[in-house]
Amino acid sequence: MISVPPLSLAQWQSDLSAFALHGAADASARLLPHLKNSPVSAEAALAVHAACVHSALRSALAQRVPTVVALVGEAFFATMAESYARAHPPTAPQLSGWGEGLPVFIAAMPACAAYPWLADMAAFDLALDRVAWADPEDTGPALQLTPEMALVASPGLAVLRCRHAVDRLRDAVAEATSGNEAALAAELLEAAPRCYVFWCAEDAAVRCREINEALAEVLETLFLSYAALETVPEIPAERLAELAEALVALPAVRLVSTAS
Amino acid sequence: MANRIPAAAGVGLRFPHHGVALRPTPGVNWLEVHPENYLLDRGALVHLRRAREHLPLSLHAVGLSLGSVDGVSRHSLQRLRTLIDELEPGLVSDHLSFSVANGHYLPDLLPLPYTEEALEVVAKNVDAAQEALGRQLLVENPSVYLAPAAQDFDEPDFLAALVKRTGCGVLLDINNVFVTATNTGQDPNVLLQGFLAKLPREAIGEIHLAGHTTRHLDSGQRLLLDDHGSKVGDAVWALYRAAIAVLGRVPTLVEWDNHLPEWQVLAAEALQTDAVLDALHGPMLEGLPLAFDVTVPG
Repeated sequence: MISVPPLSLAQWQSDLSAFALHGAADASARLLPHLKNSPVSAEAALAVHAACVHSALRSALAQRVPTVVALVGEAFFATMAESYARAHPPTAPQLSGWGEGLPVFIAAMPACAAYPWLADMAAFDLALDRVAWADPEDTGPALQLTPEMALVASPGLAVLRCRHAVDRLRDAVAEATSGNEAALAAELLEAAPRCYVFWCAEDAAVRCREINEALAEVLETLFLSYAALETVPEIPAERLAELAEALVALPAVRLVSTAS
Repeated sequence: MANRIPAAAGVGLRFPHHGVALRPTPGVNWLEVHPENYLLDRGALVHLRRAREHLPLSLHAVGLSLGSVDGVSRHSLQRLRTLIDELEPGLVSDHLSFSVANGHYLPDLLPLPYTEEALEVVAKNVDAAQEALGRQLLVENPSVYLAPAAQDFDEPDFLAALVKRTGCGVLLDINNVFVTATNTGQDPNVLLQGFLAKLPREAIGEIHLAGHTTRHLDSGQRLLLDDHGSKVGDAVWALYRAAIAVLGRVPTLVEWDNHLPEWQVLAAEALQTDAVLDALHGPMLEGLPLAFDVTVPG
């Protein structure tokens, strides 16, 4: 009779984790002698854990990028999610924040080379999801203009640059899902650089609007890097007034009185 | 709202029910959430705060990884402590399993072999968690799919030893008892009686009820999956009645995570749970705050 050397708890956990995530054959080979078939075979039981792990990860990722799922279909997305999970497994149990690297991953995926808009779509979906985390009752960052007036950013304010008009693509996907497949016109997939601003409105709804590059830079400088207006790079001084006007007109920021 | 969890039925609160959970619903006496869902999402936390104003709350963690040889993340404990300090939950729990290894978090309750070495690790982690959280933790028996060939304890003995060493409580998941027993070739009634006989009555602070599904494997074998995606099965109700007959009234949660039904479906299962508690041990006195947990003899 061949005796099986004991498996330390550390080895058990390392092997079970490696098999569940990567399907590592060497890990299952070390585990199997330490498992009973009672009554389900140990191989099948191991496979169930691997399936549960990937199903949960796929589901968490799909919730964050629903438009990507709609565009590529469940089967393609499942393969993509599994590859992403193996390359970038979560390190914390807050899965609602896992998947931030997906746009870069998609951009580098050979299987997605024919879909250059997909990485942008993932970035757009993720931006919408992040804004939804914002507490609508929390005031965003404020810029004191005068002792009496301040510009206050809405909660969750974020700026995103894309090479495709993914807001229109997302709307078209929604229409197509409702039965109007003609909405998914081929020209939506052509390159068309865009900047977007996202914010959480007072009614807690997530809002998004296309803005120009200059306004994007102003928003980033004022509210996302906490610098002063004069430090906005490469914007002619004569345009600052125009930009300030656009800024005030943007629903993502509000002019508020701070006079006591 | 008082924070003590009444010895009555509660339901798991999930995001789609945030709005409706604010309305008083017969059968829904308390709520339970996974704290991990509220650590990043401040918008969801606003909803949870509102719900907490109306009903007692329990926090049921899934990510502490109490069985990890690398210990429990201090960061995770700090974040959970912050949430506990704000929400003042009546109960806090996690699982007898691990989900962190090789620096990665896997969203599954991966099983531990019930060995002396594992007991040392889990006891050390539970001690650390209870110290960091400043309160008792309930530890839940998981659903088991794998059967280690050599173990030093059976599951009830392992949990009883953990209770003795750490002073933790137990969250007895009746559906998991059924799933584990079936998947590992045991009689569910025998396994349940093992828990009831070996665990101190006062250690069992909460019970979970949930649905499971049957997966037919390619090999022709049958495996039960603890997916929390269907109504509580008849066999699990029968085990619950047997447990409650011995334990008396225990706070009991109806838990759904997948294929989430309408709120009223959850409420109906909660009412069914209350009916079992009332039938065996008499109704809770009406008009008294639930937090007083007063029962009338049956």
